[in-house]
Amino acid sequence: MTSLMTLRQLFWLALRREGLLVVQKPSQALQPLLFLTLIMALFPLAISPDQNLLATIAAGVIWIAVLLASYLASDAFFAEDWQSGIIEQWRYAPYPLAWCVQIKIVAHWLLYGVSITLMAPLLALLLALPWSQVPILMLTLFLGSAIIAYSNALAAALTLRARSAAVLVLLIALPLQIPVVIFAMAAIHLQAGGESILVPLAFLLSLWLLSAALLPLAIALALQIMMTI
Amino acid sequence: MTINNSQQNWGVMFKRWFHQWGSPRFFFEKTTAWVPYLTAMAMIFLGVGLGWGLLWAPPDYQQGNSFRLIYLHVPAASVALSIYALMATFSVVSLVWKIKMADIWAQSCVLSGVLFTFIALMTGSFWGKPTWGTWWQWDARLTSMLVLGFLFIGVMLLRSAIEGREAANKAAALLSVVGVVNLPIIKYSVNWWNTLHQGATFTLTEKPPMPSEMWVPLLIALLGVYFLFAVFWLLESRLLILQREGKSQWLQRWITKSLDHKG
Repeated sequence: MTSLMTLRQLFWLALRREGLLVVQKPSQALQPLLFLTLIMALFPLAISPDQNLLATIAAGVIWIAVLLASYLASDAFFAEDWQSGIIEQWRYAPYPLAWCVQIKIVAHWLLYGVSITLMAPLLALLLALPWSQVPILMLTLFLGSAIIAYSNALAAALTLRARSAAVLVLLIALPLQIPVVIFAMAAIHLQAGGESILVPLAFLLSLWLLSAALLPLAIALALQIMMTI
Repeated sequence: MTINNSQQNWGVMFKRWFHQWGSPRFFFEKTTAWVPYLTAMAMIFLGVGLGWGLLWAPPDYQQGNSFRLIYLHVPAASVALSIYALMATFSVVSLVWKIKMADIWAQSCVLSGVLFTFIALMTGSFWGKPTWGTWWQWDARLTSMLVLGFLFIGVMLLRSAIEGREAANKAAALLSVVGVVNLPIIKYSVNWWNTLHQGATFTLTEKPPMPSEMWVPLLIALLGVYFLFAVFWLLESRLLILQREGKSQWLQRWITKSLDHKG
């Protein structure tokens, strides 16, 4: 008789698998980060190289670019596991499907969220964002990218069998991310004005908890729906 | 004993009612006679409400005649929100009890939802030009309405993009339910954002308590738009039944009968 892994053991094992997948194909993992940098270059070219102007829009521009880059990555979020039949395996595994989904999203966030957060000072440098605002930008990106990961995963799951998924991913994920953008930018603006950032940060945290608790269930249901004929 | 019995009867009756309406045939045959009545109601209410509102109601003392757009704007915005709630309710029914008709009912909401959201945004924009001096303002309500439009379009496109009707309907239902949980969060955060950013750049003219010549036609127009939606919804549900059950005998008989009727 074989004994089952505990959910915690499963978590670390699955996390390791996600990490190994990225190490095997580093170019694919680097694409969103490259995309992010490319968009940064467009803004000074299109708007103005004026440092003052750039400084006022920098935080918002970085946030928009992060969102766009995340859509690029989310297209392939479940695609490979779907084609290779891993998701089908999850369905028949003795663990809840929602838990497998949760692990995959957390792994994705640890990879992209952390790397985007670490890239933020570089992006801030390019757009002349004052250094005093960089820590709060990094904090909002770290929290926000977690919520973004959940909503993008939902969009990716729902569009697994869709014919043209690109715009659909945006249409599904964007309404879920509007509150995130609002509170993240509010935190940055409030901090720049020397005010307390407690309220928007509390909202970001609660949005994170809410999506971490509810969205994996919705995503698991979406995957099950996609597996029906 | 008797109480028990009557309770059981109610249960049985509800179950039967539930199953009857869940059958495409029952729904189709029952509602055939409703279409002309509902259409007449919509025409009468809309005619009276809009005619009264647009022609006879007194002009607003601050906004003049441009305020008359509310006779279209408010009903459209209100019905659009109701349609989303209705669509999400049908979606829950379809996901939980797997009733075939609930899919059809939910699907019949989407196009009207897009239409009425669009009308609300357009009339709001036409009203905004003379009143605020701009076609579009990132006001909290406008923004939420725009997002509502995105939600409707998302549900519509998702359903049409997925191959396999079963999966398409279920995915659309799930997205509707996620949307209905998300809507209050969006609404709240957009309100919060708006008050944070703009404060008093403009305020709606503090609404004077409306005289009854103003709000009675509004109420009538509101009812008219709800009836109009009921007509659209019913016609689309019936169209979907025709498409899906077209090969079944009872529908074939109905089609030949109604064709004979026309001569």
